[in-house]
Amino acid sequence: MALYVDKYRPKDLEKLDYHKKQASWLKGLVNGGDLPHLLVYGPSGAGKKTRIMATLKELFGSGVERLRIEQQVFTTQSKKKIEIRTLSSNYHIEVNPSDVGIQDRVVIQELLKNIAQTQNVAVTAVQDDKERKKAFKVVILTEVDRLSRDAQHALRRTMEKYMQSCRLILVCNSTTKVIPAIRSRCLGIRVPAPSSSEIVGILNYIAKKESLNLPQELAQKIAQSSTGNLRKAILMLEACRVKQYPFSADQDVILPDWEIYIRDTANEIIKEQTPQKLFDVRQRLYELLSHLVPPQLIFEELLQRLLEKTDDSIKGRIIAEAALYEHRMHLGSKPIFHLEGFVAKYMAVYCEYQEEAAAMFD
Amino acid sequence: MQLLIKCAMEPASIPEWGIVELQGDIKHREGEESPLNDLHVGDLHFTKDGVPVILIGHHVLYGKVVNLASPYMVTKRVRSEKGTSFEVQAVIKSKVVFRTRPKPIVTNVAKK
Amino acid sequence: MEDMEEEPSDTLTREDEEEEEAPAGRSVKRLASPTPGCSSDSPDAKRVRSESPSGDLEIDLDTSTHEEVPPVPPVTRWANVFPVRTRDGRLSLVPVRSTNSIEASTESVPSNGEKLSLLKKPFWDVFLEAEAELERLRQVPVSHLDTSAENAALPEGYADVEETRPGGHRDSREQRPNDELWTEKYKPKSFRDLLSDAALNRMVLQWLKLWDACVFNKEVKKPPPVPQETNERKRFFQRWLPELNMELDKSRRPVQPVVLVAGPPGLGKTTLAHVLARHSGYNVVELNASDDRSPEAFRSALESATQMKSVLDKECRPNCLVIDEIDGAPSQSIAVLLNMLKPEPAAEGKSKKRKPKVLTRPVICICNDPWGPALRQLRQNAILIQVPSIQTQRLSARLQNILRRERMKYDSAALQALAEKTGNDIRSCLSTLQFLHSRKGAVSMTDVTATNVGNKDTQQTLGNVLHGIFSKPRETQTSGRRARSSDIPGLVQSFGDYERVNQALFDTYISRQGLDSEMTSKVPLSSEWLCFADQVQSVIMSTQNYSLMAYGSFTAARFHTMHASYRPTKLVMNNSHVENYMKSQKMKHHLSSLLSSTTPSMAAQYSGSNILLEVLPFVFGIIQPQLKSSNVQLLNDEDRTKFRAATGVMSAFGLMFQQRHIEGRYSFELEPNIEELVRFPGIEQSFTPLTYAAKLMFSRTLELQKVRSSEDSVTSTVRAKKVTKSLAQVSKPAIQPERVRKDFFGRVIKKKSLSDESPSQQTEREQEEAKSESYSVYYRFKEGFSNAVRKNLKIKQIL
Repeated sequence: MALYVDKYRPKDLEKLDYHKKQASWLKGLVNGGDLPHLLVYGPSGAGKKTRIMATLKELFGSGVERLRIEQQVFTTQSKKKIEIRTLSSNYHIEVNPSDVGIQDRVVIQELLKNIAQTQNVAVTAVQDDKERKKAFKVVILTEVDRLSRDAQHALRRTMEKYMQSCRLILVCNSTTKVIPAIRSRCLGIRVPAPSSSEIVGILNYIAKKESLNLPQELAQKIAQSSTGNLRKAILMLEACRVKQYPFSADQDVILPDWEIYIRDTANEIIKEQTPQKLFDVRQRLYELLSHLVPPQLIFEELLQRLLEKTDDSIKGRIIAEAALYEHRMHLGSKPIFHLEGFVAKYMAVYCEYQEEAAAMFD
Repeated sequence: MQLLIKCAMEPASIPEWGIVELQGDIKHREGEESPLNDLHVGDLHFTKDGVPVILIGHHVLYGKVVNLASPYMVTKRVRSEKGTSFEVQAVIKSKVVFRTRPKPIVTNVAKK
Repeated sequence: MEDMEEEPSDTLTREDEEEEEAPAGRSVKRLASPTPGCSSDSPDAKRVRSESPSGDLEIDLDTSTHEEVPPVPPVTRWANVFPVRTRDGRLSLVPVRSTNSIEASTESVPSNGEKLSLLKKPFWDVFLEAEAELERLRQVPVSHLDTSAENAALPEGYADVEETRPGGHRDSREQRPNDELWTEKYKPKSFRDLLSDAALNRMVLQWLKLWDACVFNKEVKKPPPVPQETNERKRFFQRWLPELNMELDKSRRPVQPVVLVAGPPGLGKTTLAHVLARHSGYNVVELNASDDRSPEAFRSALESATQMKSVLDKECRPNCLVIDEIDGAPSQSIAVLLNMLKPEPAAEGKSKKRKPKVLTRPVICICNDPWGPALRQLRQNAILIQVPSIQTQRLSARLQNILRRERMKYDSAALQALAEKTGNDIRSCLSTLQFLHSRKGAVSMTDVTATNVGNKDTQQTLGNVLHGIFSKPRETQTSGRRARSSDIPGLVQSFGDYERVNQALFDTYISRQGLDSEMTSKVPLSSEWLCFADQVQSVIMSTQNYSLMAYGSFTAARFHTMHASYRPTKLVMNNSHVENYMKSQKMKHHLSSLLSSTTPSMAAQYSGSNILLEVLPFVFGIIQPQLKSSNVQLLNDEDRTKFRAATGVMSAFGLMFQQRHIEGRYSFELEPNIEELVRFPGIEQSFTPLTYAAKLMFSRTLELQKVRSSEDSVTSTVRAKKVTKSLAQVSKPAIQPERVRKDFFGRVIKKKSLSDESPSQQTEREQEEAKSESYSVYYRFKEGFSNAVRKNLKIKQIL
C-alpha cells in the first residue's frame, strides 16, 4: 500500500541492486567486529539511507524496523525550549539536528548525552546467538552538512567521549561542509549515484513485479531525466503509471513543477533582456523562494538551463559570474538580491555579446 | 373479559426493571442469527450527571432517562384450565432511551 | 542650546585676540591669566581648554597668522608639558599645571566675581536688589516695536547688548537681564505677526470660532467669503488644506472637535495655537512632552482643563487645551482623548448614573509627524492640518526686521542661505543669529556656512528619503519636501534603517523610466551594490561588528548618482520581501504539519528538503488517479488497485481530504495542503484533478482506514508484546504502552471477541474494505421517528 519506492526498497545488504561490492564490504565490516563511526555521503537518491537501514538490520536484526516517532524537548541555557522529532527503534535513534536551526549544538550535546549514558541492557539479552556483545546504540544524524560550526565541534567532542556506548552514523550530501576533525574520526563511505543502466534495470524489475508493461525508451527517458536519483526515477515511474497506462514509448516524463518553472524562467531570460523582464524574473524567483526551494538549488538549475542555450564564447564568463554570486549569496542573508544580481549580469553579458555579434556582421 | 393478574410476591418486594430502548436494530455479523444466544451486546453506563451511555461494538450512544407516563408491569402468562392469568414479574417505571446517531470509538488516537 | 556648542578652538582664538590687546604683565602661562575685562566665565574657558589638548597646537598656528604676534615655537611657551598621542596618531603636547598655578589663577579672578558670590553680601541686600530687578523687568514692555525703550531701561553697569564682547564660553541661558532669547522676545503676540500661511491661520481661526456656540453661547457667524485667490494658488492650497466642516452636532459642538496641526519643527505651530486661542478669548492650557502624560494623569489634566475654569485668571476665560508634541504621548493617553471626543453615549436614560464626559472645550493637538501609527486613530477623528514650511522670503524679511531692531549687521544673501540651511525653521534661525550676534555682532555668509546649525535630529520618512535619492534637485527653488541631495548619506543616516532603505531601492529602481538603455551598465551595477549591502549587513549581524554600519548609507548614495533624474519616479514601497517571507512561512507550516503527520515508517525515509523537492510533486500526482466511477463498490479491478494504492499512500503520509466551505461551495482540500507547496502558478497540471465525488469517496475510505489502522496497531503491539517480552525492559523512555481497550471512563472493556479471534478470521478481516468490525454484534441505527409505529393487537394473542 505504499509507494513503489518503499515497497521495493531492499531491506538487506544482500538484496541491494547496485554497488554490490560495497554492500559485501559493509557486511564484512559488520560481521567482523567493532563498528566505527560512519560518515555516509553521496548525492541525493543514491541509496544512503537504504544502506544504513540494511546495515542496522544486519547488526541488530529485524527489530530495527519497528519505528516510532517521539518528540523530545530540550531546554537551552536561556530557558528556551526546543522540540525535536526523533525516529527511533529499540536499537537506534535517528534525528535531524538542523531542524532546530541555530540551537543544533544544544540538541546534539543533550541528545547524545542522554542516549549514551543509558546503557541498553535489553539488547544484550536478545542477541544471545551472536558472540559479540552489541552493547552500543546507534545514532543516525542526517544532514550534517547543514550543521553550524559550533555544533560540529560539539559533535566531535561527544563522539570521542561516548565511543563505547553509542556509534554515530552521519549522513550528508557532500563532505565539504563537514569539518576535517569529524571526517578524520569517521570512516567515510561514499555512495555514488547509480548509473543510467542500473536505474533502467531497477525500473524494469519493478515493472515486472507490478506486472506493468514498460517500454524501454520510456525507461531510458526516465533514467535520464532523474539524473542519477533513483528515488526520483521510481517516483516518476509511478506517476507516469497513474497518469497514463498502458504506457506508450513517447509518453512525456513528468517533472516536478519547480523544475519546469525554472526551465521556463531560463527561457524568459534568454528571450528578452530588459528591465521589465528582469522585474518579471524577479517575481518568479520570489515565487520559487517562497515555495521553499533552496536558493543554491535554484542557482544550479538555472545555470544549467541557461548554459544549454548560451554560446560557448560567453559560457566561461557566465560560469565564473555565477560562482561569484553564489558564493556571495552564502555570505549574505537575502538570496533574492544575489539571484537577481546574477540574472542581471547574465542579461548584461548576453546583451553585450549580441551587440558584438551584430557589430561583426555590419 | 376478565384478565386476572396475580401478584405472587409482596407488593413491596416486586423488583423494578428498566427498559433500554434503542432506535435501531441489534445485528449479528455472521448472519441473521438471533442475538439471544447469550451474546454480550454492549455495556450500559451512566455518567456522573446521570446521562446514560451505551457501548455497542465500536459505537457509543448517549441517551436519556425518561420516566414513563404510566408504569409498566411485566407479567408472565400462566395458562391453566381455568383460564389465563398473569403473574407479575416486575414493574417498570423508567426507561433509558437512545435516540441519537451512534458515534464511532477510536481508541488509538495518534499523539501529535 | 545646541547651537552654542562652538569648537574650542573658536574660543581660544578669541582668547588670543584678547590677550594680544590686553596690557602687558601677563605671565607666560596663558592659562593663568584672564583679562580684567573678561567675564566671570573664565573657569568655563579653562574647562574647555583642558578638554582639547590637541587643540593647543592649533591655537598656536592660528595665532601665528595674526600679524601682531611673532610665531613662537610651541614648546618654549609652556614650562610643563608632556606629550600625548592623539587618536589620529599625532603627537600633541599637553600643558600641565602645577598646583601653584591653579591658586594663582583663582586669585587673579577679577572682582566681577562679586556677582557670583551672593553670599558675600548680606542676604537682605541681595533680596532688595532682586526685587528692584524684577520691578524693572516688569515695567519694560517686551514688544518688538520698541527696542529703544529697552535700551534706555538698561541700568548702568550692564554693557549694552551689542557692545559686550564676552570672552570665553558663554551660556546663553544665563539670565542676564534683557538678554532674553530672541525666540521668546520676538514671539508673535498677535494674529498678524504669525509667520505661517495666512489661509491656514484663517482656517484654524474659523474652526476655533465654531466652538463659540458651545463655549460662549454665541451664534456662529459664517465667515466672510475669502477673497478670491487666483486659481493657481487656490489649487495649491486645496492640496494641503482640508475642508472645514462647518456643521455642528447636536450638542452644538463642531463635528470635528479636535484639530491636529502637523509639520516640521520650528515653524511656529505652538505659537499659532497660543496666539489664536488667546485671540479668540480662551485661556490656553498647555500639555506638552515634559508633563506626565500617562493615561491617568492625562485624563485628569483633560478634565480639569475642559471642565473647570482657571480661578486665578482675572478675566474668567474658558480654557482651551493645547496638547503639544502629541506624537510622543503614549497611545493609551490618545485613546483617552478620543473617548472623550465621542458624542454622548446612547444610553440617555441612564444619564443620571453615568455623567458622560464629553469634551466641551476646543483641543488643539500639535505634532511633528502625523503619519505615525500611534496617531492613526486621532487622524480619523480630527482635522489634519499640515503646516507647510514658512516661505523663505517671508522668513528672511522677518529676520531682517529683527536684526534691524537688534542693530546687527547682516547680509541678505547670508540670511537667505541661513533660512535654507535650517530648513525654514525660524526658531533655529533666530537662535543662530542670536549666537552670532553675541559672538560677533554681524552675520556674514561665511558664518552661515560654518555654523553647525540645521542638523536636527529629524526623523525623515522613508518617502522623503527615497524622493531625495531618486530626484535631482532643481536649483531654482526649494520644494516643500526637503531633499538635500548633496548629502544623501546624511539623509539616509537620519532615517536610520538601512535595510528598509535598501529594500525600497530594490523595489523601486527597476521600474525607473529610461532604464532600458542602461541595461548593460547600470542594472548589474545596482544589483552588485545591493549584494554588497547584503553582505555587509550579514557580517554585522553575525559578528556584531557595528563599525561596519558606517558603510550602510553609501549604497543609497550610489543609487542616487546612478538613478536620480528630473522626471519623477514612482516610488514603490510594497515591501516585497515581507510578502515573500509571509508566504514562505505559510509553506513551512504546511511542510512541518505534513512531516508530523507521516507514519513512522515513512518518516524514516524522508527528511525535510528532499521530501519537498523530489517526493511531493510525484505523490501529489499519484494520489489523483483517474477513476471511472465514484463509488467504491463499482470500481473495476484495475481501478480498485489504483484506488487502493492511492489511499495507501495517502494514509502513509497522513494526508486527508477536508471539507471546506469556499466561495459558497463545498469543496475538498488536502490537509495538510501539499497542493500549495507543489504547484506553481503558470504551470499546467499534468494530472487532472479529482472530481468532488471522487474526493468524497477518498475521504470516506481514508477515515475508515484510519480507524482500522489504529486497531491494527493495537493488535500488532499486543502481539508483539507477547513475542518479545524481554524487550520491555529497555531503559529508553516511552515505549508505547500496551493499549488495552478502555471505555469512555477509563475502565477496561472486556472484549471476548478480540482475543478469541482466530488467525483466519483476522486475515479475512484484513481483506475487507468497507467494514471495520471486530465485534460480532453491532448496532444499526435507524433514522426517523418511532411514535407513529402502530401494531394491531388482538385479545386472543394475549390470552
